[in-house]
Amino acid sequence: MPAWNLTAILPEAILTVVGIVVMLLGSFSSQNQDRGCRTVTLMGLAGATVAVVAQRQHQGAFFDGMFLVDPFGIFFHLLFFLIAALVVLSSADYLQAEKLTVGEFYTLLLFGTVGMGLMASANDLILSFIGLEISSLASYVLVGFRRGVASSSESALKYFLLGSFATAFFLYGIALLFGATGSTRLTQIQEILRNVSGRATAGAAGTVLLPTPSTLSSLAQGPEQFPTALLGLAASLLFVGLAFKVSAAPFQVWTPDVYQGAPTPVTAFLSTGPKAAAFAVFLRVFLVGLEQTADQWSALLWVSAALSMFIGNLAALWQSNMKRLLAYSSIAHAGYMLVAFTAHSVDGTSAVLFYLVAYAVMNLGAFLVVTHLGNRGERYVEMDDYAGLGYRSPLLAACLTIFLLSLIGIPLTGGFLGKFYVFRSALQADLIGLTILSVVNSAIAAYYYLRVMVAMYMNAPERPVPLEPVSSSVGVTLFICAGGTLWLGVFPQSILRLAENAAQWLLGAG
Amino acid sequence: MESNLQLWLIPTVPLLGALWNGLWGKRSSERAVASVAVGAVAVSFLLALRAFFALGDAPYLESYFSWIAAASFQAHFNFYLDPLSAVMALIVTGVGLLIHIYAVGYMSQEGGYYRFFCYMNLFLFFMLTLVLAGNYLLMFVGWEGVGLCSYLLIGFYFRREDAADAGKKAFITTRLGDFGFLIALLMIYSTFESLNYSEVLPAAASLPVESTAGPLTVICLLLLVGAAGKSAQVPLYVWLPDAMLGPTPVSALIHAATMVTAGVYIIARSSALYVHAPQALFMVALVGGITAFYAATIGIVQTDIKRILAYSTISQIGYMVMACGVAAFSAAIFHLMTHAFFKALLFLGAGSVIHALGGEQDIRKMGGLRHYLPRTYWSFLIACLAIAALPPFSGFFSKDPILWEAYVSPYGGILFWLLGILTAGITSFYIFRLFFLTFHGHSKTAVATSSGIHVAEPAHHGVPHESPPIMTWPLMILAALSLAGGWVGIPALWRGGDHWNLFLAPAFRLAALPTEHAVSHDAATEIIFTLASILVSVAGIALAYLLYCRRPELAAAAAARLRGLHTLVLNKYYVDEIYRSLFVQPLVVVSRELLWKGMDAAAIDGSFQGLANRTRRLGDRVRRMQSGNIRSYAGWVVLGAILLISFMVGLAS
Amino acid sequence: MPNSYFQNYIPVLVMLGVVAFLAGAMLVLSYLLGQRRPSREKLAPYECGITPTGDARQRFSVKFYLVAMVFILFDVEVIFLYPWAVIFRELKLFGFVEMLLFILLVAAGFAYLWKKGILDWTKSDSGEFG
Repeated sequence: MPAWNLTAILPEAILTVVGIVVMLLGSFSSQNQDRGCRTVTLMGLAGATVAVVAQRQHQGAFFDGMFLVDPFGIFFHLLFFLIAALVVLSSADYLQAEKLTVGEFYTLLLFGTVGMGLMASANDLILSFIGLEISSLASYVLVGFRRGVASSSESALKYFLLGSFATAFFLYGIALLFGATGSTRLTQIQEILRNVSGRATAGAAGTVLLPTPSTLSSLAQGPEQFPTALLGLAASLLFVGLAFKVSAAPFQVWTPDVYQGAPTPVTAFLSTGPKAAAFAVFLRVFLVGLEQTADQWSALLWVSAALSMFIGNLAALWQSNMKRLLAYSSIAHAGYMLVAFTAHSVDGTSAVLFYLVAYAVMNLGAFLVVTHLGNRGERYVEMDDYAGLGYRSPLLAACLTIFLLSLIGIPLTGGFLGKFYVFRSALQADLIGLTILSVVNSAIAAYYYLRVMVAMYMNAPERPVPLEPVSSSVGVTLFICAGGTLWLGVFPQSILRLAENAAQWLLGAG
Repeated sequence: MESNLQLWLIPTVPLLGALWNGLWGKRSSERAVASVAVGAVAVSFLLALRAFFALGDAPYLESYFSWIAAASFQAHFNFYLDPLSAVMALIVTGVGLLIHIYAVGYMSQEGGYYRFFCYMNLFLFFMLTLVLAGNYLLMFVGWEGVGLCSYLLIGFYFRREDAADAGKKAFITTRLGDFGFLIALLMIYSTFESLNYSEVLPAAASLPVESTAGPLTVICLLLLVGAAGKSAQVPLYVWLPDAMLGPTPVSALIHAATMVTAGVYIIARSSALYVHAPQALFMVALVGGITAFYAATIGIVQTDIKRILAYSTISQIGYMVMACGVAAFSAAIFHLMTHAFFKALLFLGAGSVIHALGGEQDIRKMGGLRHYLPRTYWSFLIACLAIAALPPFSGFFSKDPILWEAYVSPYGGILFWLLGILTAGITSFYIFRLFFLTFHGHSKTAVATSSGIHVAEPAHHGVPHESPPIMTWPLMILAALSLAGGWVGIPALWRGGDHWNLFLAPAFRLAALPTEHAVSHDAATEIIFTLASILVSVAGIALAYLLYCRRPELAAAAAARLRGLHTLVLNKYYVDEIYRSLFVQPLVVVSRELLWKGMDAAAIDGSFQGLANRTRRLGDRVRRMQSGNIRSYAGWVVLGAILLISFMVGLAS
Repeated sequence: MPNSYFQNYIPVLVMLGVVAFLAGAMLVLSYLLGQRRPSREKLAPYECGITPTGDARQRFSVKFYLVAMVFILFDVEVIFLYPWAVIFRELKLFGFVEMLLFILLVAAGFAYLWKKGILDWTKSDSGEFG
């Protein structure tokens, strides 16, 4: 194994080492280690980002084609590091107030990010699975991080049990796909299925062509007939596992409970990072590996997208708890992304990628306001606690307003352009029914986000809610999120170009 | 193209005003807040004036920077100035300025002074973006922005639950329309590969007229959906009457003069598309005509002064939309302008009345205000005459071409003319009913106040009093405009120069009727039609005079005779109720009963929190937490997986 | 040919059948033939001849689990060392560095555990991992 292969996983390696350092730093140094841990973590993320940027010059397939360094993977890596850095910055006050161990929190966050990075770059289902498990295990622990609080432990337990249940489906899907094609490499599976279906159509035309050794020389010999049933089964099992992770219907049941019980910064992380990583695997598996069976699984995506939007938005209408509300909104947003996914095109894929970035920025921001206002012990997370926020803390309220407007999809915010691209790609793919459903949904969704705004600006507070001063780290994060949301709405080009590039690569390379 | 006009300043100045008041207004005095807000609008107005006079023959384009430059999609931040957008910008800033000045006096008694002006300035920013935008996407930015500001301003009296609800209703109803616009926008891009007016409109003009429904027809119908949402046309009009819960200057500015006419603007702007899609054009005319007539009938029986004006607004916008539908775009914009004058005046006058009576809005409780509010009375009378379309008031000159075009245009017909003339009669009837009940007859408020039946409101000082000069001056200026504003468009028939049509012609050059039937009518026909419409208007006024001034008992008798019809119309044909049971109720049931009570609340109850509230037994608690809920969740996952797998396998075999 | 492939497993199948039959037969026969005269002493759980005291389901200190988990981790580490040692010479320096990294990783974890006091059996239950 040549040594230069290691550059391919350099970002992950950096994060692993930094994670270990932070873990030791957290346990060995004396009392006031918070700042040190945070600095090292952020530096590690910065180093990993530099490594990823440098990787653009060294693209290709590594480790026997198991691990890809391509625009698609790089896009996701950068997104993950941004999310992790924002979560690190925003959680500082929270961890201090809740008296949680800082070192372990950051370590788990970093390890989770490593897993997500592997998921985004994996060209082999086994590696995807390992990445999925690494990131999931870290998230399970993070969800239960407030050990003294029953609801947090309950969430962790639920998430762990259901999550392992779902990944078992995923694993079973891998096994069946291997059984059907004889490979776990996505690009190989793609090629094998192409050959087989090519043979099948040729056979239907009347001449049975045997594959010449040259076409299939390096590949495993594909099955004789197109294994439709087996592939369908495999696709649906893979779908179960991945839909669970992106909290798409009908596998969304865990989301509200887990999001509500988890520490708020962790909820922010879960709703953006692992969700994006699962989408990365989703896109790779279905658009590359299972490309040939698109007409089978696109129906699946269609139904799931429509269900997610409706369940998420309708259930959110009556929520009074902010975390639960945002949890349902997260389900709905997964639905919008699935709409673009269903389009099965370069435009659709880049719409998903852009949406993920916009959603990450706005949702992290919204959760940060929820974290800050929640105060010690997350006591103030009901919508009534937001009454009159517009007068008591205009700046905080203004930030939350930006995030909510973006979640609704008002122009000049990232959320609008995200939705815009989603609708556009769906319309171009002639998914007229689905487009109309998503349009109706985004009209319904406006209602519950508006409720929060009504509470902030138009209601008088019902009980005194203490308001902590905004610390510098929270301020910086809020500024990045709010600025980023607007930036994506006004100057979306750079991100869009990256997304487009990644999407083209994903669909064109195979 | 050289950019020496700096069009971007026109919307930006109000934005700066909004930011200033939003950030520092809370600590500033009312005077400072007002001068910043009014000053910003004044500057914007002057800039718009400068742009107006700099107008050349060709449309003037300023492009600032590229907004989206993806390979497959491009849009710029650019502004577009032609006679149409220049006139719109002038109306918005001019009427906006007068209403701002009025509001300085009107809002001084209310709380949230800085907040109000912040939202108002923000509204102007978005409205000006809407009218000056050089492409459909930027227009959409303004389009959504004005909706948002309208929502904020409707819900301004935040202590009133119904006001907040009305705001949400407005936001969501118009948003349904907005998505029509959004999809239209996407289709425009896929058809023309651009969103800039300067490229789309000529491209559309070069396309053949669609004899059967094609992409242009679909685009135009979708735009109509958007316009119907924003301009409160059938069937999406339900939000506008409720929107009257906002402060009166807001009703005047947003819900009468500017924002609600955005739908007319977008149809006029896309005129080149519409004339190539005659079927869509017919739908436009139909929607407009029906709305004009339908809303006017509701206006007859309403009793809330602002609601009558709201239905009148819906009806008048219906007129404009109908004018667009018969391809009389410049007539539509003409009426849009005069309507902005007299409807703003009506609302501000109504505000003055409400102000004087300490919040009373029921016209049955008014009367005899002529003596207490002389300036309001006279300006209101001018506005009423203008909306009733009597010469020489502005409404006459703008409404008459619409009626005439409705008849002679190749897209029109006798049906639309009939709808129009009936509506004209009803309009003059209900507006003078309002006028007579409010200003003539016995003063009912004074009696009510002295006998103590009426709950005295804070600003109620017993005897109604005229508003301060800062409120009456804008009224008088608007009255002058309502009277004389129509004179710029006196047609050749009346020895006028037809300046209006000539001025706007460049904006609609691309919408020149591709198949000019050129049905020529002699002047005599036109004069007969004009006389007919004057006659109808006068008849409406006379009837109102008879029923509400001379013989008030007749009105009651008529209402009693036609009890069924009266109740039906009084309840607005029960459309709100029908919508609720058709659209809102099913959503609520699914959401609350199934998802919330069925799944969500059950989940909370089954979880630790819920159990902790019910049972305090420790061992039991932990055990159930582990077994009950998760098992059911896993059950859901399995159920979903089974459905999925059987679906997939079923598909495969 | 798949048929011949599966034929290889027929002996296993036969074996399974024999085992199942034998075990089943033993249970059934002892049930049918054996005598049953239950008494209190006989029904009590068998604890190496000592009279049982209290409930068998006791709460264990969480430390047992922690130690068990730590043991498994290091046990797995050792298992990795065996195959590595077998081909140590072939892997040359690369293999050495790889294993060094691996051991370092685990050692870091070990140091962390130590510092956290997992190995300190006498530490009170209210500690970090109590």
